[in-house]
Amino acid sequence: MRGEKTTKRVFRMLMPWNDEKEGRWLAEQEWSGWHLKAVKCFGGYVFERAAPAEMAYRLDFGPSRFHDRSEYFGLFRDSGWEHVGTRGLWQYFRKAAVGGRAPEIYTDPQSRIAMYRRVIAITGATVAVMASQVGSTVSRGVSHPTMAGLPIVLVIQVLLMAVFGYGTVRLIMVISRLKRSQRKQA
Amino acid sequence: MTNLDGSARKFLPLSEATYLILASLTEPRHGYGIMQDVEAVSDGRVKLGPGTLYGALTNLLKGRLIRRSGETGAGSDRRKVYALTPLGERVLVLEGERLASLSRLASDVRKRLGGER
Repeated sequence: MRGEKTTKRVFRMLMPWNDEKEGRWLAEQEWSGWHLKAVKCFGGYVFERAAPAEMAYRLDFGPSRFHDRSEYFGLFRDSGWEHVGTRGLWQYFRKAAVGGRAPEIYTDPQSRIAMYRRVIAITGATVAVMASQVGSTVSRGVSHPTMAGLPIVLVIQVLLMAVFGYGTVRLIMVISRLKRSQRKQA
Repeated sequence: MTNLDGSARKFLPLSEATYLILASLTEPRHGYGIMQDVEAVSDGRVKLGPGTLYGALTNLLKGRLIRRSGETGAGSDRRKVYALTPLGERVLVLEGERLASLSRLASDVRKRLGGER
């Protein structure tokens, strides 16, 4: 490679309660001349040098592979959204922001709240599963105090429970903020 | 009919977006057709985002207010077409009656507040 770099890779964790912030960050990259080329599953973004542009980036927690997603992607394509990448169930879309007005994929607070509820269904279920795992690890530790490795297993399980529990709480906070703004509108 | 009315009333009142989607399906349409129609009949005031519309269609299918009614186009232009079910029609009519009575009240209020504005 000679001279100035024409591509860059950036690693970033995606926090599900920060999906709007992530979109704004991607828009800032575009505005400063880095065009998103690809989304890698383990937190990597690949950017390419391009002319600065005003582009809206939106993330959606979409349907899983078990659904017929052609209708889903078709609605986005028909309304001018380009599908840029996938990370887990998160779908990345972008659309040119004409005249500084950012287009939206969710046009009322109820449907946006429903999206976060779909995320909570998964993070909340993970917390419940981990809690029951912690319970069985502890009871196994009580009946077999000499079993090796149990403390490590327990630490991992508690950690996972804490991480997903924290995420669930943050998502609930986002929903209550949306509900407050809904009341203000009404 | 009364049985159908009973199940239809459970869906009332509808959100504005849901009412407009059902109203546009008095003719079978595909998703993008619904977006365009809703924008047109609301004089550009209501633009349905694809996330919002996809969620609404999923819920309406689940509640059996609408059904799939074939496809249009071919290849990458293929789109699913949606149509009202008898239950959906009933919900739309009942909600319309509710809105009409509110609208009568609104013009009455306008008069009471003084004048032909």
